[in-house]
Amino acid sequence: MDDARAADSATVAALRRGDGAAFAGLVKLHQPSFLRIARVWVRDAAAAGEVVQAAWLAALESVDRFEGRSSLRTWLYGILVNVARAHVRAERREVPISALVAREVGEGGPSVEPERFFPEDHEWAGHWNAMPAPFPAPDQALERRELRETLQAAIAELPVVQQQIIVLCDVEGLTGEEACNILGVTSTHQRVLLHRARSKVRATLERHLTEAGQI
Amino acid sequence: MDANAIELVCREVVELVTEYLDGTLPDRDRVRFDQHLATCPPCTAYLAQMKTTLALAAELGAAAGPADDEVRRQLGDMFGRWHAKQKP
Repeated sequence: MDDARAADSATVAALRRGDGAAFAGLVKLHQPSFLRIARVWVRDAAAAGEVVQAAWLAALESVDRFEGRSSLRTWLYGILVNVARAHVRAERREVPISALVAREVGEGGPSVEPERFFPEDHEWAGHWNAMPAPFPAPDQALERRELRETLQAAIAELPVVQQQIIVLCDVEGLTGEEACNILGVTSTHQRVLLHRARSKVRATLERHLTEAGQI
Repeated sequence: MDANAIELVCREVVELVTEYLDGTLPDRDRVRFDQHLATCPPCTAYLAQMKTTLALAAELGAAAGPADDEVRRQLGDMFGRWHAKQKP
């Protein structure tokens, strides 16, 4: 952890003294994540690219305020999310996150369709009535590549806060706490909505495999 | 309370999977969850599905994305302009 902090401080110091290679390295490392995160807010690829560019400039403009309280990566993602939100707000499409969270938390349903379990009057009430289908193993590269594309599409279909949370936590690998800080949601809501998001995309993947006749 | 007192059914297990995988399930529920898994192949299969889903999501995050030299050049220029504006 201290090594990571020291590396972050060194990178920030290099940026301040105008080291273009340090900035290019940072761009190379984070640009793919930046684009994926931006597209959660801004669907249009060209507009998302502009948001990302504006976020890099915003990061440079505020680099003197980086205090190392979070990792540089989390700090950068936080700036990107703020820029993306400002973009959405400028187009008057933004609903406050608290309202979105309340709506998505309120739309509760079971994680798995009830008909997958034996009914209440059955001896095995609440137990699976058939085996969940196996997903491709790590060595089934072709099947997994196809399923990744399905997963990406499934994430894009989720309600927006669930998209934001699953992208930050499961695609980009942030901790729940880091995602909460960036998005301004409580840890309880983050856990509930991450669970919903994961359950929905799992169901979509299973449906895709079943319909494709692969399982 | 005895950890064995109430056994989980599959319909409940699927609601606890995220907390189980993220290590946020309270100890007592984790024991009940593990006990259930030990005797339930379908829930074991479901957990495997969820683990694969998470692995695929992480693979999406590891993807390098297209190398866009033009964008990198623009960002490099932007950095140069930004630094030129800084106080010496």
